[in-house]
Amino acid sequence: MTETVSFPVVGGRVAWPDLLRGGAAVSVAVLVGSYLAVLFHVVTVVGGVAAFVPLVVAVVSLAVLLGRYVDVRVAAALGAVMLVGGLTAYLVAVPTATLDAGTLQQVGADVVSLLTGFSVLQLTRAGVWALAVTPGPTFLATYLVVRGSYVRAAAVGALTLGFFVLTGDSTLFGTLAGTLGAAGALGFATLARRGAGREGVEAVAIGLAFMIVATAAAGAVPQATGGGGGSGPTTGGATTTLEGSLTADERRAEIQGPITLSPRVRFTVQASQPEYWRAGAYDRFTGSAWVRTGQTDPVTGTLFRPEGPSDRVVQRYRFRDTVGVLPAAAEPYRVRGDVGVLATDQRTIRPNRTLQPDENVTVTSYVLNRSVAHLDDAGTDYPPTIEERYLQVPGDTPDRVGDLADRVTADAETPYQTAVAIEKYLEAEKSYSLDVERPEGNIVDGFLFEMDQGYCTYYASSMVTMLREEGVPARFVVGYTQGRRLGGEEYVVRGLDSHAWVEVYFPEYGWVRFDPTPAQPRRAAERQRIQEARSSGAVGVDVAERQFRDVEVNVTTTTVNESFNYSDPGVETGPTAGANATTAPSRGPIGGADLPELPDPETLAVWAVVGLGALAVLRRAGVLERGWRAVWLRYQPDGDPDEVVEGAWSRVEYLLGRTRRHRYADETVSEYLHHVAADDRARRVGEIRERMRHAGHVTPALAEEARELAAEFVAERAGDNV
Amino acid sequence: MSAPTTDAVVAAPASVLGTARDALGAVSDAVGHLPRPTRRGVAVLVVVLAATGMALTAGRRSLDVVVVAGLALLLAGLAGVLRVEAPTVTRTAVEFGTVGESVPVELGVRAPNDPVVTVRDALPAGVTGAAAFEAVADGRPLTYDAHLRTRGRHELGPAVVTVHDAFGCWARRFPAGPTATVLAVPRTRALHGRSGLLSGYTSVAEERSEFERLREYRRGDALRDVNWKASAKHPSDLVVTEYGSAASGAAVLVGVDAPDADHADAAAEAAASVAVHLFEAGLAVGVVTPDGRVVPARGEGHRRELLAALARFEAAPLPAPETEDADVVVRATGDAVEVLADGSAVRFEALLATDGADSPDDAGGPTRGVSA
Repeated sequence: MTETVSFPVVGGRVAWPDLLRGGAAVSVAVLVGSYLAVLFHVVTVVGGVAAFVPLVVAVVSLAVLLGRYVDVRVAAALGAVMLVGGLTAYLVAVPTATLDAGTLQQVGADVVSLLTGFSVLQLTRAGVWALAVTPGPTFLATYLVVRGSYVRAAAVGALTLGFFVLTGDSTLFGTLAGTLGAAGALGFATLARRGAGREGVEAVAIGLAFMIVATAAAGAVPQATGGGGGSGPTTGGATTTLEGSLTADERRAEIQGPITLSPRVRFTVQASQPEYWRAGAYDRFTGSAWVRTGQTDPVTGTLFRPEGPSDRVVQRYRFRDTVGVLPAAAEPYRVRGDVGVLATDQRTIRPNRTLQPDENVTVTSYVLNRSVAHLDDAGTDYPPTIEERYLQVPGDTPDRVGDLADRVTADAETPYQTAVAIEKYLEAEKSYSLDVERPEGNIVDGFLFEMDQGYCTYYASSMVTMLREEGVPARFVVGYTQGRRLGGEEYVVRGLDSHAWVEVYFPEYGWVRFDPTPAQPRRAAERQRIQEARSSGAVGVDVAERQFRDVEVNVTTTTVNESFNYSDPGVETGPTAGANATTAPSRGPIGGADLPELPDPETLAVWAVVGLGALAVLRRAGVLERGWRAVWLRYQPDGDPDEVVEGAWSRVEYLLGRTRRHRYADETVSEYLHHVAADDRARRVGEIRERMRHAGHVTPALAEEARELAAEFVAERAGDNV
Repeated sequence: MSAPTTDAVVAAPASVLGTARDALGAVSDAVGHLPRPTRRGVAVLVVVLAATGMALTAGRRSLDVVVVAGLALLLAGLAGVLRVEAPTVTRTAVEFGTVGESVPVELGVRAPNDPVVTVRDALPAGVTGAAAFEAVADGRPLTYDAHLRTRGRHELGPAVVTVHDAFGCWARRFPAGPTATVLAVPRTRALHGRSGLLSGYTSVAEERSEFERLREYRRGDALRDVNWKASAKHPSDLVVTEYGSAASGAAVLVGVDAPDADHADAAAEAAASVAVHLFEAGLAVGVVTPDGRVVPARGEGHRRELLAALARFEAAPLPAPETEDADVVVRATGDAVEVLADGSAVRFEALLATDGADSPDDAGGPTRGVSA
């Protein structure tokens, strides 16, 4: 055959058994790697990388060491002990948990919620949890690979990955890689056990390639397999709306790329003063999404009040569309209406069902009275529960983010000044646009250093991250802005009023709203969208029973200390900074937009599998053989006349074999040429070869003649017969 | 908060797997030799279905990758086993063996693209062996020892070849290939050299020192009759000494009377021992069984015929005329095997060599035959 194989080779021959066992081991490694990647992501976000990597190394080393000496049952027991022990340690580490019957019930309920999409990142102690579950399956899978039990190892890995698929933490790419790893382990193990050879490897390659092509064709995997991506649920419609990305999944807010605004009216609200209608708050940032940790439990009676001075604001909501959130000015104190209320660990509320058009809900809130607040004097005496939850920054956030925050807030002496400085910095330095490409990697780093423009989620995420870098507890909040005034004290709120902003914690006061998004350009964009929708006659843009149009209204977001400003960071940021700044390397799409980007290694690996599968299909279909023959026929050997003659004859004989029949074993060349009625050129080549055989040598002239005749013969016939 | 300890996707009870597999199996049996999922294939299908269910009830997550990739795995495997050509099976087997011993059997299974196969050779009652192989159909020799437990003709095969996809999710059975027959001949046991019942016959053979004449070697002559000294003078031929009438005329017919199927094997073993004992003493030996007769003769080839006849016969009383003809009758009665000769009877056990050593196995030696 034509292929030269450069696999592990022993004595010039491919060591197929070793190759197959190696393939099975690598497949299991990919599978295990796919769930370890999820856990690594968790500890990267919440902290614990320093413990995670040594832990994995230790567990794998232990498994390799014990693999040779320890019985399977002992190893299985050891793996189970690791898992159960780890989870017990986790339960002990969770402060609120006590180990009683109620805890066990809670454990059961938690398992169910994890399996129905409750992200591991939503666990309050996700880092501890990740470290707790890592050793068990990893030890067992590695041990089984060392023992050569690849299928069992794959089963352990698949169960573990399956868990993270169900929690929604495994990315599409990670799940694909893990699934391919599991399938590869099945295939290679089956073949290694049976001592198969190349044909078997081909069959596995074809199968894996088919799986990849099928998933791509079914649209299960995004065409551009970007880095993390995440598996956050899409928002139903084909186009991403800001509102969808902020309210579709109450537990996770994914930062999107370009978005549109929906002009449809969601609800109207009567209130004594315009407020931001908050829908949810998020504490944990992954670098590309916001996650709300902890639980959501039904509540009755009164809810929350700010610690500081507050005013009572009654809001009468009338819903005009189906809405999945329960908007409320912060802090909601009481809800009246035909809907159950759930409270989150972040002290925000959720409805227990979707709210329907024409439904009425009254919410009484106590809103912090900023005019009498002395936020500048609030100090930094944060409660531990606040510090624990609201100071988290992804572990892989580049240092330059913190450095920038330091410089921007250099003159700020209090947390309040810090917040104002960052808010003003973002309002001044970045311009508002809905049409931005989502950067790869950490979006805050991307927004601060490589983008000029962004919208509310970029502003708010950046402000929270910078505040946390400065040690100020802050969180990412979503909901709706005040909307537009319909007249009197009534406001109309549309999909395009959905918004993300920031809340900063001040001791003795509570959560205080900041909005780093420039208000004017945002309102302009919203106004334009409403006008477009009205002029195109779209349905649901206005409240039907009203004769007059709504008007814009302001809500104060930044207060009191307007004279305070941010410090000049001293370095240029934004995309133009790339030229002279020695910043961390980034795969951002803007910096390298002109150059064709090399796909990342994972994508290349997937393509390599597809390529190998395609090659195998071609070889089986005979295409490679035919291609090689076509070349072989046309390039005759040079040099030694004997070789030239043999080369010429082998080509003539091959073609005769294809067009007439093959020579029988007991047939002489001249008999054969006679029987198949070969033409004169073929006969002459045969004759020269016979003569050479008998004489033991041949003259260069005759050799050249044979060569030319063969070339003519090939040129005439090869076209359709190779 | 807490964490899960199990994963619900794959943890389907084994009984569900079993039921699903049985149902699919029943369908595939009804339609013919269609591919059926293996346990592994059913497990993949269960994962796909569970993932579909979870995706529909609790959100997509990345479950669609599992669903699509899992289905692709099953479909690729199914297409593979549907396309595969029926494997060709070759078989090499020894035709002749002795009860209690093993004969080597070699199978070769071949199909284009060397698919993964499980080969199971059908073994009849009375033959045991590790006749199942996990292999690929590249024609490699698959060998096992067929242990012959009972006397008679045994048909080995046909081998059932089950073709799998490379991932082991599907199985498609091909009842394929030739069979081979192995004749399991009775064991022979060493008897007393000279004494007892048979000495009358063996002593006749001892007297063969009467030299008669030399003649050319013919097939079937015992090597011990070759006259090596004389052969040396005739470069192209072996020369055999033919003895006088006393020895050459000494022919013994051994009869087997086995009315009872339960004791037929014991009778066969005793008769074979007696016949071989006499044969090795140089007598022309024949056997008469309820099924037929092998006329007395000498020569290595004849030994095999004697044993073959004793291997094949079915339990039945030996008819009176045959009993009359037989010089020695081996009779299996209720609880003993008797050897009757010259009007007296003795239990077979009494004839056995006292040192307990069985006669060397010279039941003809293994002969290989190929059937395709």
